[in-house]
Amino acid sequence: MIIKNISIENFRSYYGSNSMDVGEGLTLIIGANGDGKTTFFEALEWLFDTVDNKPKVDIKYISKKKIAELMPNESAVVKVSMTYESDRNEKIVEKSFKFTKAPDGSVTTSNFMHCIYIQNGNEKEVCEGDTAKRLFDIDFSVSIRKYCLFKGEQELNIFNKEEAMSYLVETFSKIRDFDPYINFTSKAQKWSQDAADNAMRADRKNSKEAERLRSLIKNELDFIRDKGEELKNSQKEAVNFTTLLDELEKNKESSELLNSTNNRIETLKEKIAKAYNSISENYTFRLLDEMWILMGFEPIAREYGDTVANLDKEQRRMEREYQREQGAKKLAGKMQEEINQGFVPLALNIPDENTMREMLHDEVCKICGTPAPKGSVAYNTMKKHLDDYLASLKDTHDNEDEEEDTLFKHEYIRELANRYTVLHNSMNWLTRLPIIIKTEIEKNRRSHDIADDLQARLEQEEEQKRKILAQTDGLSEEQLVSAFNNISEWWRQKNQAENKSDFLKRQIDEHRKKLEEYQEEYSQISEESLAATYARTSIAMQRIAEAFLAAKIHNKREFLAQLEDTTNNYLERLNRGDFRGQAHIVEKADESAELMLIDTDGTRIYNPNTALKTTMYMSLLFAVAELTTVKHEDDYPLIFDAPTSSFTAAKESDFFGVIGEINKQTIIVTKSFLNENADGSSSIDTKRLKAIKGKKYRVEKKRPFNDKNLATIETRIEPIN
Amino acid sequence: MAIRYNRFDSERFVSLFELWGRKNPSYEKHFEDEVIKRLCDFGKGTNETSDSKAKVLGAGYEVLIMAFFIGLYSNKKLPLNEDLDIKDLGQPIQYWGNIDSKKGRRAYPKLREYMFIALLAKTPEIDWYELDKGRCTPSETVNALIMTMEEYINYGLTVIKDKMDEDETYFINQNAFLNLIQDLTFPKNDTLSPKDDQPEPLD
Repeated sequence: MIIKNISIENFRSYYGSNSMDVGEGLTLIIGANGDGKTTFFEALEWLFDTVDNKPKVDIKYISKKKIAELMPNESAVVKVSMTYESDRNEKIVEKSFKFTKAPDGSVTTSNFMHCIYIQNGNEKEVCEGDTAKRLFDIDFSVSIRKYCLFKGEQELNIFNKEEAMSYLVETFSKIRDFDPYINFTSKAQKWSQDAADNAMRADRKNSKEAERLRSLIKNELDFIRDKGEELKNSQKEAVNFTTLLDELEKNKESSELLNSTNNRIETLKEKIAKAYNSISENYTFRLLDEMWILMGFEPIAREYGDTVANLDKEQRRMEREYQREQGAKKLAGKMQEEINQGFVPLALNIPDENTMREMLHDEVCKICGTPAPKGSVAYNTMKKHLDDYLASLKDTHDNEDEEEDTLFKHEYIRELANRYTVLHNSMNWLTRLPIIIKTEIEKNRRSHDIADDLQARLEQEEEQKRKILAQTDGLSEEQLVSAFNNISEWWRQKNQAENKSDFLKRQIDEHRKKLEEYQEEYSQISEESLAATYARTSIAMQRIAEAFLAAKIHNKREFLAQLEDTTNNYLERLNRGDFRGQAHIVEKADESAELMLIDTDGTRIYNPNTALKTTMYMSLLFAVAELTTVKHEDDYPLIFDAPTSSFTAAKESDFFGVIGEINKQTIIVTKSFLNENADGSSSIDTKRLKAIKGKKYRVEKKRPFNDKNLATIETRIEPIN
Repeated sequence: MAIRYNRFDSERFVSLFELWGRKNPSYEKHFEDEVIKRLCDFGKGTNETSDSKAKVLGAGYEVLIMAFFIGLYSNKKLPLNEDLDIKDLGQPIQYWGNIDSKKGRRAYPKLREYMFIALLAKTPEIDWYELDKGRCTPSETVNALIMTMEEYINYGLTVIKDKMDEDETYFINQNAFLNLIQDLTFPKNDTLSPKDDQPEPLD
């Protein structure tokens, strides 16, 4: 089937009648986002949908602009049609329905039509409904349509579906041709076996032996069947574990990276916690609990010291004055000379007794640092001071019980002085307190800096982790970590399943041999008899059936090998001048398949870039199309919606260049070759596009339009020259 | 013979510090709602754990201590307005800072001694000779000390209230009291406290 023309009328944004001729090679339909590219694709999907006979009419297909334009009770038509050539006949397939606008603005639909018009000489023949459906299914079979329309890059991998390979092989290779022979020989084997059994039963002489052998044969057949089932399961299990390990291999690097990143994240988190734990910033409490609030207390302490010293000094002066005035002659006499000197002497106990004795012994006044040799004035003064002190002690003891007349009855000033003595011990701390606080705050600041630095590194590691996870084909972190942890278990289970499969295969082979022996023995029970002939016929039929089965498998492999070769041809053309590896179709035990890229040494290339992956999948599609064309003796188009969104501009140009040269009808809807203008519109990069062979169209919203009103949207299809 | 009291050898001697410790300084009652209750677990008992994260201080006296030092370092006394209601905490000074049962807190009884020393230094109207001569009573002296204390507290509470009126959450920042005290005790350019752009504490 070759598409000649596509017409779209009032289908969604395709207001009015729009038509385009389609080339035999590449047809490019270029449009920006929202310009109606996907709508074009959906119109074809709607046209090709013949899965059931339901009309598939939906108001959402109707052009809003057309509805807005209609007067009450006025009608119009939604229509998608395609002119195509099949069996050298030109036909038009068309789907349409009528819609009518009611006075209240609502819309009703009617007259759904599915027709095929066949040009027969000058006459036009029309088929409708089921006939049209059947005819279209012949011209463009449903099985082929599966490999025709592709939306985006994700859908291109046709092997994503498990049954895809067997469907492909069954549909497009010739292996189905073997099926009638296999069926016939299997049945013939059964018939001859039944005939042999019946004849044996009639042979009374040998019936006992025949019964024994039949029973043995049945047992062997049962055994082979059961073990065959078991083998299938085992092989499936081995495939599953191989797939898991393949996934792991694909993500091995990621798993290892993730593991080491997780370890680093753990360590960083511990360090951050430690850094934060070392921060003590509850400064309000520390003002009280650690008495930081005394940071400004030093001047007050000094002020207090001065006050107390003055009070003490003045009090002593007053006391002496009082004593003198009271005529305490002894004391006054002692003090008279000193008072006359015009200064208040030190208290008698200052310096203390031991210091005084030491100074007299060393003959030095250690207060002023002057030598005081025996007999000098200084020596004598010190000696007198010590004597006076000793005498005062004696006086105190002597007068303890005597009533003393003093000016001051209480000693609160002394309490003040004592308090100063205690305060004096803290002066050093009070002086250093601002520095202590500053150091603590600095320490906290440094800890913050360390924690911030660690936090930044943690964020980098988390980012790294996100990147790793983003590159792992949708595997979750748990899966990656468990993959890392489970590898040995998976290997064990895979090996176990494979060993079991080998063991079962050997068992089945052995029992097959036994079966053959029993069957041979059975056929020889009564040689020359009819029963023996039937039995030998049965064995022959069984072997023929097995031969056909083997031929079928061989053909399937040949088909896949051919498919692989053709795929690689296309892959080479689509990636000219670029690395491409080699496409390889791997057949799995569960009858599914996987298309993968391998290196020249046969090792798998994991995670190829998306553009390479896309070209690989497209190559397979081209290969399928090429091979099936041979079988169907008729071509069919490939229609893609935005298959190259991951390509660079240069890669796109090369890609479309090659597609343009391939002798294959391909329609590609794309937003490539568009340059964005400053006003939000876009224009065609004609220079790049000129190099591409094929028909080219631009789909575009007609301007002006209201960006909030769908009823103003109209897509136009214009050819690009 | 005249009796000479000595705090170290006479049971009858009661030091001024002890007398002062038995006192309850007063404050203007309006500060209770405006400041004290907003900053501490006032009225909950000192052993109870604060159930409000917004409270930055524990017992009520902690607010008064802060206020006292603000007044002291500002060197500003503000007499209590006699026309207003006056109240006290009902918790004598001798118990202030004794409790350390709260999580992460430490007792600080020694701070009382420094407060007392500050009062001795900053109450010049006391005639100490007259006191030692026995011509005025220790009680009168302690009353004078308490008045100084109340005036410092009164000024400090006014400062705190003004800050809270400007920004209700001002003292939730752990640097707030530190900055305030530091501004009063150090020249502006010799800052101790963390920069404003430092992260908030984690707790």
